Amino acid sequence: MKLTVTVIAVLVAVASAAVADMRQVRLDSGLTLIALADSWSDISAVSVMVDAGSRYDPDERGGLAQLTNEMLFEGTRNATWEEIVDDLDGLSIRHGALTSEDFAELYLTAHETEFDTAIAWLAEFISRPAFDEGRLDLEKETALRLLEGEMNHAFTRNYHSLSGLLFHGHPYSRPVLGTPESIRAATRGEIVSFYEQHYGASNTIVVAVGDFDTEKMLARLEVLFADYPDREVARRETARAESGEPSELDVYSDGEDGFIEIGFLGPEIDSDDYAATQVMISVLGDGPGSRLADRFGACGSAKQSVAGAFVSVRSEGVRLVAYASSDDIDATFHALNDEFEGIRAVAVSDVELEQAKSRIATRLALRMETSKDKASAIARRHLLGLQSNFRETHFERLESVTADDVQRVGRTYLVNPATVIERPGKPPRRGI
Amino acid sequence: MMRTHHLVAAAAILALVLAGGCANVEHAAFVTRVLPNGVTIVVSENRGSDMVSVHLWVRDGALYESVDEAGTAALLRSVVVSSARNPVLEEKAEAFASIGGVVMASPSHDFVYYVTACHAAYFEQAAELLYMGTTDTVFSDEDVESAKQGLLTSLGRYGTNTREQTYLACMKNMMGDHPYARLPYGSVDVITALTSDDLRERHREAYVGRNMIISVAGNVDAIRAADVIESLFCDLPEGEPAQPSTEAVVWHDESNIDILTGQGASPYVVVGFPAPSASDEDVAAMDLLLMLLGRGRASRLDRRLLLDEELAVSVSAGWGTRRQANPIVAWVDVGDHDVDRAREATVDAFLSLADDPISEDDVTRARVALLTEVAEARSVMAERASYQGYWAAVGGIGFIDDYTARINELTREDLERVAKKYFRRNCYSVAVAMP
Repeated sequence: MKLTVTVIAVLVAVASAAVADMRQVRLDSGLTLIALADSWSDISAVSVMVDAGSRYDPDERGGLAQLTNEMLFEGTRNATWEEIVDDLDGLSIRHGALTSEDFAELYLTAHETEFDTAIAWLAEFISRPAFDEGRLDLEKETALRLLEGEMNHAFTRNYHSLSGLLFHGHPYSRPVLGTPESIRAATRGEIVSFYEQHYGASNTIVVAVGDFDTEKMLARLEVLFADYPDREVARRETARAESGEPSELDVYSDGEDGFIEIGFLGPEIDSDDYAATQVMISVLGDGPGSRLADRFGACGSAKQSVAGAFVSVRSEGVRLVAYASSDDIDATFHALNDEFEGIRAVAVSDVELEQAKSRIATRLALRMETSKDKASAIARRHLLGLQSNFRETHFERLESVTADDVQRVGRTYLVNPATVIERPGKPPRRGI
Repeated sequence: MMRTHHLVAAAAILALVLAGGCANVEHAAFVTRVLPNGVTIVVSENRGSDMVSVHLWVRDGALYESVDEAGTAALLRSVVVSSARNPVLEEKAEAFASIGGVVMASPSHDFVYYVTACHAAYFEQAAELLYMGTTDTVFSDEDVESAKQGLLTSLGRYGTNTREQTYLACMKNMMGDHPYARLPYGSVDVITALTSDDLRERHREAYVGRNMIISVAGNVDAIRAADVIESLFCDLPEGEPAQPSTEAVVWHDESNIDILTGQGASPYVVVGFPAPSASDEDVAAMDLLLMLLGRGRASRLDRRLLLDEELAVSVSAGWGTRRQANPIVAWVDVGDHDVDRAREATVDAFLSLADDPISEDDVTRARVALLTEVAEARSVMAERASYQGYWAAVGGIGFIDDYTARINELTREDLERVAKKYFRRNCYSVAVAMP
């Protein structure tokens, strides 16, 4: 017990120090700028996150959000793609784009000596994209390769199916990348339209993290992002996903092993149940010391090579997912359900509880090591509508989670599962 | 900015102290100590992360092994990380993993290193686990046999890897029987013949104070962390420092090409040129030349092989800075392109650095690339500890923060001088793997 309390205390102290050096301003345009001083790294990062994820893709037009986000790097009205990459490359400025169901993010990282150039480029990318037709064709090829990669990987292939079962009818049921057909069909006009409808100051946040004076950084960001469009953005009102009846999908593959994914709808991230649910999932399947690792890693009779569970946070529905691969998929299915029942039926031990909290603390620490990690986390927290002190209060909530809480959230949320079972071989022949 | 000033100050103090023959520096953010038994401790405090990483580097590896001993250090490392026969250690290792802690170990040519990473609140558990794991080793016949099987499997994988085989052929051409020209995992014959007594003896000789560096980076009080490490390792026997099994290679004025057939699906080329040792004054300049050669679109290799002439599918360059001189190398996946043209263009890319003037823009670009790589490595605690441990192991602790200053002082004339010294037409090696 003492060990975990120490961890939580350290985390709260560190998080509080970070907040103390953070400044935020909302411009008249509605654009939010945040600067966090971090003097412990020579690498600075800037992230622009927009409420323009794949949930805004029109029906049957999946992949537009992803393509639009990626195309922002592909040339502007003032610079060709070649000029951009030559300049970024010459200054060792790293860049990337991430699109989720909820958000689209562009980020740059650079040595502190080159950071001003980096933020200037980021403002240029998001404010004045060219959406060059030739670059779009290349970007579509890249998206098709990524999608092929996802479909060749058992976890991501089945995750797509699981999302379809868990969120049927909701935009979250579609892959972020879209489908081969929708990617091929995307036009420049659609990309421009998506940008004009969904990229605006009021749904965008810019976060810079680095060894700088926060006041000066905010002033610099305000100048650089002055041209970012101040316009009404289209917001898509979607009902929050609701837990429905249990559902199951059997699919077949050429692999030797089967793969199983079981998903549940969890509580909202700002719910009182969220911390306990996070602890419950850690008890269940978060590496060494967790139940799935003990059962499948060391003691399983079947040849399970992978087993675990995780929490995936989205603005309209947190999902809880357990997964395993096995050469005896039916036995694994029953074993996973045994473990769910174990969580619901019996309170976890004190040792399990404390170890789970410690694992969460370590995972969260690992996810916040770099300037880029910090910039993305702050931007995401803001767009999710969470309080700026969410990190500190969350650790306090984690600390107070009890064994009874874990059992209670298990009974509440480990219900009505969506199950995807991928079996090796061909589907059984059906009679007339 | 405060941290930078602290480190610069610490580095300056460190240089002065080293010049005077003592090597202890105590500073709020950066601590180095050499204990009476020879154990070197390097700690950097970083409050920007919640993690801590503790590394233990042992001067034990291929460099210290004759051909007849090749693989002993690698097998010993496998036995050390196997805690199955030590119930106390096994329990501690499981407890550490169950709180999210990570343990790993790897053999190399100049050293074997053991790594832990965890939340900073568990620093003491990480340090204790590292101490117990490397000092309370149980040499059971069962563990040794199990470790042998694992190592032999790894060796088998390398034997079928085209990139690795081509690289080794190139190294063999340049360095003959020098340990750097062979895998750090040793040979099948030696590993098969090793006994638990052999490993126990090697452990007694190599895992001693004068061969050990403990490197810590993370959200810890640097002085307190150094105290914890010192209390654990202070009673370790001093022992004798490891001595290389051979002299450093002398680069001969001779170029050669080796063709390997029946390898891989498409042609693969490895080109090696001489390069200095970690303690050589040319090391920083060679690092900048590596940036000019193979980092980014403007680099000589990318421009020539990928952008201007489209002679390869991919190209990369690297240099393992080691205790003794070790070549700088380019790897080229030729794909469906002309293998002879790709090979010639790769050699030309090296020679162009010696033949053509290096511009001020080149120097600036290389400096930014290198300082960015260093800063990126140091912003993740596990890599920061690795960076510190590595340099302390191969270059001495004085190297750690002196390095950035040296990079900033280099001129294009320095780079041209070093390029002409090492990138010569009559002194390089090429290995080509053909399907």
